[in-house]
Amino acid sequence: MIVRPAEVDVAIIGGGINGTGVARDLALRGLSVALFERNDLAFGASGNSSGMIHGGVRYLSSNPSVTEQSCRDSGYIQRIAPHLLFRIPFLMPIAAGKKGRVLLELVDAYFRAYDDYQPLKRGEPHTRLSAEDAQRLEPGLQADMVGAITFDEWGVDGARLCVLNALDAREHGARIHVHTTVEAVTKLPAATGAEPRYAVRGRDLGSEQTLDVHARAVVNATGAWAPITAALGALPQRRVRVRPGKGIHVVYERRLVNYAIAADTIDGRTVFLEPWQNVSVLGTTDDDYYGDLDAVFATSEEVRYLVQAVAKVFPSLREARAIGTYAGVRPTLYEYGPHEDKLSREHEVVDHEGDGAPGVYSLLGGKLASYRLFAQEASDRVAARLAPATRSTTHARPLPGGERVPDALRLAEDHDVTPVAARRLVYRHGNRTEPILARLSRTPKEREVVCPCEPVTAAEVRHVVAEEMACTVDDVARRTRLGYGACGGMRCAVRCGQIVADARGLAPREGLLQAQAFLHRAGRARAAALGPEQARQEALARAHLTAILGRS
Amino acid sequence: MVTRVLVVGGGVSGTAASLAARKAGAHVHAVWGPAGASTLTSGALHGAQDEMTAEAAAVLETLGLHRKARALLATVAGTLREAAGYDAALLDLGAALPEGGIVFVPRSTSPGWDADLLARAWSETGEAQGRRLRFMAGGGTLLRFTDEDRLPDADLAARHDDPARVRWLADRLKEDLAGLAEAKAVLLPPWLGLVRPQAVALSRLVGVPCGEIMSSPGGPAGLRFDRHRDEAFTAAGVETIRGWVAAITATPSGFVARLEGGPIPGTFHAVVLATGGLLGGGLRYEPSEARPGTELPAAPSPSFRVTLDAQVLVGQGGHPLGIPGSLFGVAPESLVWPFVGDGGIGLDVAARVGVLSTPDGSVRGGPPGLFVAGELEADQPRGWLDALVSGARAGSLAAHFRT
Repeated sequence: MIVRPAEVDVAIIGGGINGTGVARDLALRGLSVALFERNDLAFGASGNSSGMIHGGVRYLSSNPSVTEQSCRDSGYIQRIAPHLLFRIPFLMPIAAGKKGRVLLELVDAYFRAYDDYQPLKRGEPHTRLSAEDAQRLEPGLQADMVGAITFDEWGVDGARLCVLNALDAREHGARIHVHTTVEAVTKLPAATGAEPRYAVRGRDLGSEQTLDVHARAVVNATGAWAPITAALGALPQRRVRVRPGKGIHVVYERRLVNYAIAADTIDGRTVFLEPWQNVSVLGTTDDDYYGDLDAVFATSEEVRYLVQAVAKVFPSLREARAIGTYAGVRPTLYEYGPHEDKLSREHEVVDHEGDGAPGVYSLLGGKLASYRLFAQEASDRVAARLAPATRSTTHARPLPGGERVPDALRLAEDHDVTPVAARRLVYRHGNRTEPILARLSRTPKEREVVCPCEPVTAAEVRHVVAEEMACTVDDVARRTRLGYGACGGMRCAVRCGQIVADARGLAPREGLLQAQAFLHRAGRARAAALGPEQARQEALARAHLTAILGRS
Repeated sequence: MVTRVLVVGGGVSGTAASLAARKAGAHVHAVWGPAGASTLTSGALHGAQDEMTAEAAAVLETLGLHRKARALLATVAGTLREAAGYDAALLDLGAALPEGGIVFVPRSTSPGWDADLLARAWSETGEAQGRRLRFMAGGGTLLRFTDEDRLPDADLAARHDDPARVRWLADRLKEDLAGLAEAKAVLLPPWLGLVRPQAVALSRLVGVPCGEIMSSPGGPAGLRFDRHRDEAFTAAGVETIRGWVAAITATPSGFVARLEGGPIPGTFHAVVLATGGLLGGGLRYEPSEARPGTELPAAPSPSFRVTLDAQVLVGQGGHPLGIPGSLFGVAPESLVWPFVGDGGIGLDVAARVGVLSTPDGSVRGGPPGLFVAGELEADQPRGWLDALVSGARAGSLAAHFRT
């Protein structure tokens, strides 16, 4: 049976924060949208960030407009998804020494300037601490300090932010196709003077079926993959250049610090150890990446580089238990010559009209903190041709679940779940927590706690499969953090696979294969930061998994 | 004069060593600390042992375990596994249904037991298709009291130690089976007794073979192992001490052992080290970067060490571990590699590392009379049965050791 290609206004390629941000913006304006994502939403840099929408404080001296943009947009994000943001106060110790006192004055002044931008994102002003005060607030610090500075940033789960944008787009008519790779983008023959249209051919990687759409505009929002995507549309490479920058993070099993500690690396960069929800995150690096974008892994060298920097001021980090690593590649704007850190963090909308493809745009660069602004700019360009009378409303309309933040303790009592479980659900789903809890009451079996580390119930697993476009154990993990805890998925991956297979009508064996793929990736990521306790955990996981999955 | 033997470690290899040494007439002290790998057993016995020594077979029998080539067990992952033996509470599908047939899987409100999903998953495996096994979920009254759907497996297993409870369960199962006459066996969650496996009693009452699936780590099978070990030691007259051994030292009058809390009185002619590998706690992965240090880690050292102080050599491939060419230890990515099962995936950390031994089972480079067994020994195949055989051998050697 030949399926006629769907006719849409806009085809978006790429399901990261930029792609889903644009999908949402355009769908809210009433345009019909089809989004193609070859892996899962937030698979790339969007799902592997530091977990903060920071205000761009380091651009204050070189490019203050970037700082203002980031702070303003962070403020909007905080307004449209209040449940998804949490405070991460930073503490930056200033080392004693010849230049120590002067440096403290300079940094104090610098952050006093940053204070002007904090109200844009409802942030607190900075403070200046004596060495004694800093020591008291953060007892684990063991730096020879002359003093310290604190400042305020917002933490966020980047993958959830991305998923919520896609969800809103879908609820306004967009079609979101995950696990669907785009194979070709071709201009359709048209009469002179007629509006250009493009055929986008996608292939569902699960079913191998092709999916064709005809669109009036195409947006290449594939981040670090942008040049690859451009080649599919026969667009000149020199117009779509990025300089991919790999960044890794190490995850520790609990909150080790009260504040995010900033520290200097051996080569003069600033890295941090941040308390992040129920774990701590150490990050990050920035290195030119020449490898496979679909398989980015941290190496033990990168881990050691980061640990060295923070252990200098926070020595007990060496004895802390690392439970995993994650890595992503930034789609930084291309420039040949500067060091990675010195590259611009701005964003750019490339209009391919000059390349013979009017209505085709590529999105380059960008930061999580200003995604909404980037998406608005891109959407304005697209809408200028397709729906000129419309305006962006993404800064004002709440993301799904962001309408209000329910009382987690009340929900815990009403539905007989632990307060921790309720609190975590409210974090992830905000105002949409109640329907998930209602599932528990309807079907007691769904009370089962699949992942005790988070915790994630069977109800939530089934919910994200049904409502949030999750197709595999990896997808569920990205949306719920299932399997990201200390056990490394040992206890939950297999069970999650069984539930996913059942929920999607797949054979049980498919669920097992998904679980194995998840465990393989997670295990490989964990190896880079292996320590004594985690090595023992790996031995336990091995014993358990061999017993249930393979020969000994 | 009777040989005095000290066995450090209470897992399968330590237990085998203690019982074998006792059988050979030695005076045996068994010391062990917290639970190790054997207490986390799933109930299935694996290993490359095609032939069992007489000593090992005797130990196996004492521990109430079955040795059966190619037993077929069900797992909580929805797979069917072959094993070389199993805890008596598990159901061997091969033995119970040699011609194939229907296995009844009772439902329960317990969140961890999804009978319908499991039954479907098992039925669709290659093993089930090949042997014409079909799993059918049904019924639904495995739990007797309302609090029981929140209890972990081990607690439910303890409740089934009560014969009255087993009779109650048997009655419920017989009711369920009344409507499913063709069912030839019943497959249950890992709840059938902690002190002793109740599967045999249950089978007799119900009239068809009943048994458990393989449990997860921390399930009843491991706890049953502990129980059997304790009873076997009491019956055989092995003296037991609970504590963490800090050091074993050779003196002219024999071996002296020191616990963390103080010395063990007396001297010993021979010592068997069976403290386990990474999981058991006998070996520890400790790169120099994991120890206190600020900008640079503390001084470099081999990345693996034994957790008690004794004159042993840690190595693999027959060679002792040297100081790695890095301040931070070897790159951990080189230590771990995917292990391959039936498409199984996981990480194997330094599979062969351990205490180096000589062909006669004694510790290489160590004082005479010091033996090593089980996962702690380098370059040995790692399976439950392998540990059992190596423990029995070490215990026998220790008992016959003469200075």
